Amino acid sequence: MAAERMNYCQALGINPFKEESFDPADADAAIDRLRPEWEKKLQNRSSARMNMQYNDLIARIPDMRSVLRNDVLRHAEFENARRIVAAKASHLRRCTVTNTSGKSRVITTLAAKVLQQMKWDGLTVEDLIKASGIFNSKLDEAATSQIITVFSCLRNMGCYTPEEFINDILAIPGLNFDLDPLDGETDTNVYFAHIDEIYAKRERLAKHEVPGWDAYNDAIVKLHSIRTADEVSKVRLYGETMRAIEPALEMLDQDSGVGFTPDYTRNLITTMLTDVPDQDLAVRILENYCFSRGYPANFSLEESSLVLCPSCKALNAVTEDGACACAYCGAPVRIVCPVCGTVQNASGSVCTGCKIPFAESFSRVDALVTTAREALSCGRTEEAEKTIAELRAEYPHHGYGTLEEDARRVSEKLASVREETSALFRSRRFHGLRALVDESLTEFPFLADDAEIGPRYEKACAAVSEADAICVSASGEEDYISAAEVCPDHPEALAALSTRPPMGPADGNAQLHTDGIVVSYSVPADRRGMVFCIYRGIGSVPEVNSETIPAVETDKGIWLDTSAEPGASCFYRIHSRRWGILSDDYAVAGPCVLVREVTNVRLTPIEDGIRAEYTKPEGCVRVRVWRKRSGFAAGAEEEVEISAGDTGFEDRGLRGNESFSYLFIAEYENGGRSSGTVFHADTNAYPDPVTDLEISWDRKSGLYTAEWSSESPVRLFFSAVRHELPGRITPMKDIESWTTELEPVASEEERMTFRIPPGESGFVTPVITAGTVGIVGDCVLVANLLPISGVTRRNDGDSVLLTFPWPVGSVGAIASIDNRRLEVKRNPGETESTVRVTLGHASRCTVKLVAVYEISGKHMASNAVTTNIWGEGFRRITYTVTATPSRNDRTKTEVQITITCPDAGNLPCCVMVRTREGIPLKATDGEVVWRSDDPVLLANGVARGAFFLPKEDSDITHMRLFLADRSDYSRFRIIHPIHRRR
Amino acid sequence: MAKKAQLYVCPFCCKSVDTDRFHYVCEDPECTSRFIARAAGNNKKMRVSVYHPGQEVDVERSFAMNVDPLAPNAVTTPEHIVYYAKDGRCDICHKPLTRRLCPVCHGPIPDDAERGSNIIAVLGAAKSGKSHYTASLIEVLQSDYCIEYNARMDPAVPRTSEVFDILRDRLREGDDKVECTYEPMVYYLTRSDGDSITKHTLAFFDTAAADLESEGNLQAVSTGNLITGAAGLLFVIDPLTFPKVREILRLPPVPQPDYAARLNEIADTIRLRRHQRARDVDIPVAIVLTKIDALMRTSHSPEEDEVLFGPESALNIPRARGVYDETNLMQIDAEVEEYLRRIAGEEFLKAVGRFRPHAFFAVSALGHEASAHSVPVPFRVEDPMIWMMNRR
Repeated sequence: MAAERMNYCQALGINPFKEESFDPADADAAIDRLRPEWEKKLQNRSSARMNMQYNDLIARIPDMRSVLRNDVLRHAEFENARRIVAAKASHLRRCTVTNTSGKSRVITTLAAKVLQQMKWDGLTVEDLIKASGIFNSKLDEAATSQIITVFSCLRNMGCYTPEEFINDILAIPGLNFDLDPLDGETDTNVYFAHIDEIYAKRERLAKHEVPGWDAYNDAIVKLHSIRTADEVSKVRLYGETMRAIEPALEMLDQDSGVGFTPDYTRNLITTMLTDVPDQDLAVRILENYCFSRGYPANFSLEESSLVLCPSCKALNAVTEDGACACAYCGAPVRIVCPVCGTVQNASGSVCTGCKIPFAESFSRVDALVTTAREALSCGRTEEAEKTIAELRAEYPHHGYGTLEEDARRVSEKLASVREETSALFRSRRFHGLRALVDESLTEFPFLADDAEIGPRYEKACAAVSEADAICVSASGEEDYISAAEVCPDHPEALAALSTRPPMGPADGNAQLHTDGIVVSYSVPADRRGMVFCIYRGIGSVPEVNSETIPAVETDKGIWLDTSAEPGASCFYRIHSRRWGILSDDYAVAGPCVLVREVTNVRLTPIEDGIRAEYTKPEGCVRVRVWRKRSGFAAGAEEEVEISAGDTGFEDRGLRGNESFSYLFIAEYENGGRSSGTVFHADTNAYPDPVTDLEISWDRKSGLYTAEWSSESPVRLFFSAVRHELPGRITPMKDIESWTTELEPVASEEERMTFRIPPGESGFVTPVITAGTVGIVGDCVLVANLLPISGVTRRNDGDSVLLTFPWPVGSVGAIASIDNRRLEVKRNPGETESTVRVTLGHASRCTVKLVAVYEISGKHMASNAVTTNIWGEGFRRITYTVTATPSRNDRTKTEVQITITCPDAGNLPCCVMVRTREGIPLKATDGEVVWRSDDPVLLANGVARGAFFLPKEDSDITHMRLFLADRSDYSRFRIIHPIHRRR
Repeated sequence: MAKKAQLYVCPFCCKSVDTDRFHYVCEDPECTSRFIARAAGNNKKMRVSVYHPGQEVDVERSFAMNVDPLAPNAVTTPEHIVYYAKDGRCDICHKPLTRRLCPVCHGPIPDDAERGSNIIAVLGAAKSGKSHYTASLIEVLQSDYCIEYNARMDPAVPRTSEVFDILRDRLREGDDKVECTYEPMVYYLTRSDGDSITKHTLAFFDTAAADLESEGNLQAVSTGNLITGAAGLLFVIDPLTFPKVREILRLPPVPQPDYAARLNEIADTIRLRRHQRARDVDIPVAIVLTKIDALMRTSHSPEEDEVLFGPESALNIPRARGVYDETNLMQIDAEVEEYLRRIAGEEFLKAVGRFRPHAFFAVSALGHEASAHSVPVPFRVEDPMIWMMNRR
């Protein structure tokens, strides 16, 4: 295959954008200049391709001359050259910096590279940018050149802000500026005073040979040139921003190998420019930075996707649907598969998605579209629609332009012609019919062959021709009458007969009938050749002229209008017509409103009532429904009007297992009302109410558990008082207003756990919900009776005082002490109570306390609180026992006892008890070996005694001291010595 | 010379473990991720959870809970378990670790584990009231005792509270036949005595009565480990099981447990496991006479007076609060010992005497006869623990 020849403009280095100023002599000069070069390069034999190229150029020199001398051929060559340049220049789209507002600026250095690669002498970068179609806008400047210059000087000195620079100078030793350091908050006047002072004495830098004093001097001079506070703040802001974005700039440098996409720049801004003083300024700096460094970048929010044209290699932007044609050569770049919708490169021959061959598919699509268009052009709408449907089924993703819209428009037009033709034929207006069909034949040429219109058209043509013939030879009125009888709207006949209109009908009347509206009227005596034209108007008597098509033409004096719009107020105007001439006088009937009954009524029983569905009659304003129980005569049972919608209603809250009748009446806007129809339905039987509710209390959790047996879902309601409901079936809104539903803590089938606030009591009622009513079960009394808590004990002599706060709502308390029972009544306003428990002889006893509540007139007791009490008003008696052999009798041992009770003056009688084994546990456990005085008199809390025992019975580890009388243990306790230790 | 292993009895599994072989937990989730990422072979199969991505399978804990570590309900943890922590450092991030686990059951190891364990086991025959007593004792220790002695008692693991709640709730529901699960209730009791702070690890095992019914059962691993490793035993006795008491109080006869035999078997088990020649064992035992409220009521006849504690009993003398009232406890000790000598016989006291030291106590978990809606009023249930913790 022969390669395409090089464009002569390119070969000769001619700028194709300067066609107007082109002189063919320049081309000759260029050829003369370049020919030796080409021949020289050909001799170099650098490569086969180059050899072929230069051979070709040398061979084409005559052709070049002739083409460039011929105006037409030259223009074509220049045009082609401009297209080639534009395609190449499209690559500049990848060499731009686009800012946040979408403006693009071509990076000149990159554009120059592109130009260099094109090897097209005579072209400039500007030509290339212009050819690219890029609107080469100037990017927004981040700051004025003065500010940027000042900042550069500061950066040279390692500073970002003027203040940092001044402070650096002040810190140089030996300069002796008598100035305080500055900070970011320094007043502007102070700043200017500082810079003026430094500027005035800047020669000190050179004098002291400060390293880099000339750079300092340069920066001072530049800084001193800024004389307004606004400029100073801008330098400061610019510096601070530069300081903050330095990491971002570093990152741009690092990643500069490829162009920065919108995703990249967005990510950079959101992650690295969060703490900058001015983000807009920072972004502007980044944009300008990219431009100055030659980094292509897109800071706009728009995604830019570019595709290469397979034909001319130009870069094209992709459209929203993915498909596009090359903007430079027109070749398809990306196409959408008509079958599967996959967007793909146009260079492929087979779809990458569904593998269909594109060539065959597109040629078939074109063929089918052509077929459809042809069918539409000659009015064959059915054929066209069939073809379009076929196209849609086979190629759903192909765009068909206006094909479908055109098909719809033609179909509507044809339908209109058909309808009009039919009406004209019915009214025997053959002249009008022929004119209509003749007019439509231009658009629908097949119309004369149409099965419906064709015969009518033929008949109309025949009638008109016959009437024409009669009129041509007419000699008198009778002939025109004959012509009018043949063709009632024949213009010539009508014109001749227009002076003799027939008598009109009278006494028009419209009456409602089951099937429509009956229109009647009195007919004139002379009915020869007469028909009656009845015109219908809605809301008013219709206006009629000779062209008006009547609703009906009849030769009778009565007509049933079955096509009247229901609910519309119909007026009728009746004319007589003879020989095509309408009567001047006429009869009027109406208004009359056609009403229809409600139809398709379906009544279905629902949980607590009946659901009705029906069709609202056409034109009806509303449907009204009344309900009464079946089996009652009219007036015997109150009828209840139901709030009915347009398509149905739900009549809830009805008694179960009963029969109801519904009267449906359709009402119309102008007062029309149907006579009504009655329908019957039975309600469902309700579930049985819960009558076996049992509630238990869980001590551990403080929760109540209700259990029942019912197959229906049950809800529990709580009320402080018992409500006497009128029956088992009660509207739920009433139940909910009187009671509070218990929130289940846990719920299972036929079981629910709930909580009652402390101190509350009331009735739990089980309710089975059936729509808007509830089936109320037997209620159960529950009481969360607070037990007594916070009992404190205080010993008072031989009694213990138990004090406790009264639980909320309690009316009293009962204290059970062993076998005794003590009732305490709560006085009004009392917050706590004290119960005195006498211990008597017991040292310890158990007391059970219950709080008493009054609920519904009955006294109920809370759970018991048990507490142990023991007397603490006792004194501790300690004693020691020692045994020493008797001095007088060796068989005996003297046992000495020392009793101590510090706080007592005397003690009750004590006994020493001895056992042979172990120790005595009580006074009766063994032998009493010693008995004290009664009472035991203490001296300083101590009493002593002694007694003698046989030596073998004198082991003191088997002896213990006890009070002789047990009742004394309420006042005294004995602490025994411990003799044996393990 | 090789370093002698320092053993610690884990309160959760009762196994003696070398303190150098404790496992550790690293709480850094990064370590878990890195471990999961690099796990291979058996480590990956066993320790990386398939069902809970990002978590490790706690194999030891799963076994302790009788769960297959490869099953979906295996115990998993988002923390990294370090099996071989060199110098107590994480094997991944090498940071020092403080949370230690028993290498057998992965129960937590307290900070003072090197000071030894302090397991208190509650033993007793069937229906002796040991479950009631255990529950009551824990409640009293957590409330009244802590207030009285300025102490704090915290569950070692959340499961402890759950086990205790289950036990207490079932007892409150009147379910006396609570099945023992061998799940210990481990608490840390921290007691402040002026400037010093003493910390005890208390592990309460509510052992099944059946485990004490025969020597064979006692030799079983769980109960044997428990008894041998315990720092103290509470042996619960129901006085109403003694025929003499029942006869006098006109209660229907019930089979009498052989308390002496049980105690001897316990002592023999300990000796056997400790390879000890001496007949006596040095585990302190508190003999706890329960249901004492039933024996402290007013007597209705001289006969009843023989088996009831009268007003002269030291049980009616409240102990001094906030201090260790040894006098009071020893009064009771002497009385209860004498009481048991009379109704249980010398054989029983001889069996008790094999444990040194030992003491006798009388308590009531409920404070009164159990009834559906009564509130427990524990009576002196804390006395044995006070003695255990203060004995010299």
